[in-house]
Amino acid sequence: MSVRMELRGLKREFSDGTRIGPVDLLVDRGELVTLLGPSGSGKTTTLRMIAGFIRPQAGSLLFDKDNVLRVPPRERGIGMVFQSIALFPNMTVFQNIAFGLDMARWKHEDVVYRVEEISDVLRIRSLLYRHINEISGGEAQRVALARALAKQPRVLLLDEPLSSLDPQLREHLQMEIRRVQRSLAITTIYVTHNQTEAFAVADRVAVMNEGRVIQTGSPEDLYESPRNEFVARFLGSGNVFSGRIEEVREHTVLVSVKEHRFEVRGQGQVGARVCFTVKPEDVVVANAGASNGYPAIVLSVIPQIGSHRVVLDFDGTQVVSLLTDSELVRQLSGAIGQRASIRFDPESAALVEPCSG
Amino acid sequence: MNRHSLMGHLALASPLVLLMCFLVYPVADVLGQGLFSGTGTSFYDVVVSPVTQRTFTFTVIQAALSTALAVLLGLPGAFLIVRLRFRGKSVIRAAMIIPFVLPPIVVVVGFLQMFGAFGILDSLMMAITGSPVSVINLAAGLPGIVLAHAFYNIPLVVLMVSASLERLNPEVEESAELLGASHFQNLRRIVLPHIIPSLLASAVLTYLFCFTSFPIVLALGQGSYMTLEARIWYAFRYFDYGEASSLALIQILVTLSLAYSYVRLGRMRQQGIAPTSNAKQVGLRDLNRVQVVLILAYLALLAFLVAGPIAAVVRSSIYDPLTRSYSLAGFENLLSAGTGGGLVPLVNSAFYATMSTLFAVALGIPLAFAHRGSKNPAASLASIMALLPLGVSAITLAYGLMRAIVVPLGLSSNPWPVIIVAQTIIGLPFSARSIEIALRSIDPALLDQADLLGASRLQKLFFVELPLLAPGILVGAAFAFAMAIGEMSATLFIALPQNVTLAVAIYQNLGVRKFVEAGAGALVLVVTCLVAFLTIDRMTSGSSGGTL
Repeated sequence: MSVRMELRGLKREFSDGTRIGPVDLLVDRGELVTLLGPSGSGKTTTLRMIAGFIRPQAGSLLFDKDNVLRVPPRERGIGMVFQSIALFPNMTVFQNIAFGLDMARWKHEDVVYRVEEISDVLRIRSLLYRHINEISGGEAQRVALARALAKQPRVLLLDEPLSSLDPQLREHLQMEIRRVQRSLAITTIYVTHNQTEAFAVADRVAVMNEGRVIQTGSPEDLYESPRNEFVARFLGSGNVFSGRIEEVREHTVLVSVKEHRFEVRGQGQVGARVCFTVKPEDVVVANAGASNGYPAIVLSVIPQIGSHRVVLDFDGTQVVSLLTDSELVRQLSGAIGQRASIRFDPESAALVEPCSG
Repeated sequence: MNRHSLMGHLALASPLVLLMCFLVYPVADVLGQGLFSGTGTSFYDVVVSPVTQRTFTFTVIQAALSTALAVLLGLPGAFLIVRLRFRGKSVIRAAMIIPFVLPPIVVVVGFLQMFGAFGILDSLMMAITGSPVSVINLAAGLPGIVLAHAFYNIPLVVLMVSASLERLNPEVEESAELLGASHFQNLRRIVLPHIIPSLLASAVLTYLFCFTSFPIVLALGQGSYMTLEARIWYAFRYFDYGEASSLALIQILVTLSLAYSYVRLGRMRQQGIAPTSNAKQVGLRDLNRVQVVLILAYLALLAFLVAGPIAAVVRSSIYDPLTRSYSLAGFENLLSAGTGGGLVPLVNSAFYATMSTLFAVALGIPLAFAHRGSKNPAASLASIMALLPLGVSAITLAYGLMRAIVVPLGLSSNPWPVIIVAQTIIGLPFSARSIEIALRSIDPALLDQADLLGASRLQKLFFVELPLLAPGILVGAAFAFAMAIGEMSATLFIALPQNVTLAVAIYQNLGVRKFVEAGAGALVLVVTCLVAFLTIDRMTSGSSGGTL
């Protein structure tokens, strides 16, 4: 049922000058890929090109081996959940889910069987005869998913489906979507601008910016080795420093940032402008008196699950560190606006390109 | 109860009390007379009379035909204005409100000039066929009445249905498409159920207006076609109060149930309300040739039917179809003060309309405030009262005022205050509604903010609420002024020769075939109402259709 979907160089330019693409992306049979990026990065446009609502000017869209770009939306075999949910307000839950089957002229008993089957999977059997204005936001979400899945589509598209829900419900439904997607093994693209959500549901994540897919990989890959400054900043996985290479050593380079020098893993030309990132958990913070650290001003100390998030100002660059040492946290909390020191291993810093300075 | 809230209740109660005196009591008096009093024909005789039955049948049928035509011609327009991307859309959308503020008698003048004997269409046909006599006259009898009603109500249907269509989330239609629905299935299963409440509401409102239409029927029907409204007027003129009251009772039963179902439909419309989303649109270039031709033909038809008569008013003010020559006599007449001159009606119109606008606003503000007060009985009473004039026809109101106010108070020799009362009541639903819309759009947080900053209730009212309401009040005033200055039915009913207004004078001039004099008066009213429209449009930045 499911297909292997490939986007090859999909491109579209709009009359207002916005350009999307070329977008290249491969989604394997039964895989769930999230499209992650800031608003305006082209995620929804890409999704709408796949659905057939926006016609690309170049490229191809392959379902297995067939290019479906010339197939009208209603014949592509796509199930989609929109950001606004878009349930049919004049129908019951049952009628909503059965809509696609009715359009395909299924026999009534088959429709009933299928609607009950899919509503069991989504645990909404008890809602079938409710009206759309009588169900909650989370329930509406499940109904929309059931409606999209009822006709056993070849591909499932989800456009920020949970953005209107409160955080607890959102987390719960993320797991539900993941469960249903796995059990049906349906090829899925999930659009979101929320990194936590993207990482929670995805087999692989594709980061988009300015109309292109910049990096694709498992959540671990992206977090551990962001390909460039944008990914590092967007995923919040890196403190980004920029400076000039002053000296090249065997496996590392010496980078000068303002008047300080850092040793960083990687290679480059002396004099080149570079950026490097350090993950928050690798930044070591100490009291002002500590030796071999760099001076920084403590801006804030915020408790969060499992650690404290400390934000410091290092010569105009904002540096985030995650601390678990409660004694140190207590001392820093009492020292907001005062000096502390930071440092990190050369091994935990990584050069990234390109660099905007 | 402290002093402030006592003042507040008094302020809110005063419009209700006044409406009780000047609307409910007179109308109730008329209806009571129809049932119980002995003068003239009895209720039973009126009901069984073949004349009544013929009148009633004609009223029902012409209203049904008019409504069907307005819906039929308005529905494509609603789709075009929402779905088609084209330049000048906002101008066209704003201009839709113009027919609504035009006085019916002006429409009659425009129609006669456009579609009547020796009118623009007729002249054209005469030139084509080479005939020396009139070939076609669409401005008389049933066709004229139905066309004129369609002129009025096509824009109404377009505005109400397009407003609803705009609220249809495009993703809902896209969902249906992905699930395999064809264009036709989408239309039938998704779009139509969505717009049905507003379509019905616009049809009910159209039917209501056509059912009680008076000036158009009187002038274009020329006595041989009569609606209940016209029949009530005739009965009153021939002193058969029993018949007039009985007919008023029959009519009010119909109009009130129409008004009630309109309000019910309005609630239904608000239930499924979604924010106005970016409706799905196509450009002209995405359409095939047949579609473009159909659209152009439709637009030409609308231009002919709706814009044509308005433009024709200009010609009617200088072209005399009797002598087939151009003259400025109409404008000279407007400035002559003697008998049959236009100066007295002009001054009367300005005075009555100004006074009744002031009253309509003064009463509209407290009514709007009372209406806002959510679910308490005073609020629903206020909303019923504000809408009641919609369900009571102008003639019934005028008749009631004559019986219950003019005669007992001895105003018979010069009833001008009652004309103002009637015009106020007719403008009130519109002023109250405009103000209420403005009131509802005030962010309650602003008032809380003023509270926190230490403003008293009165300070809040004068320094925060009323300034924010000012545009809404101006819109309400413009609507009320347009309604008042164009009002002909009640004024004709009440006015003695010295009270004649411009609208009534136009009717009388038409009756004695002084066409340019009627045309010049109509042009003055068109210009006045266009100014009112421009005011409304400026203040609402093009969303004036919401008042309907």
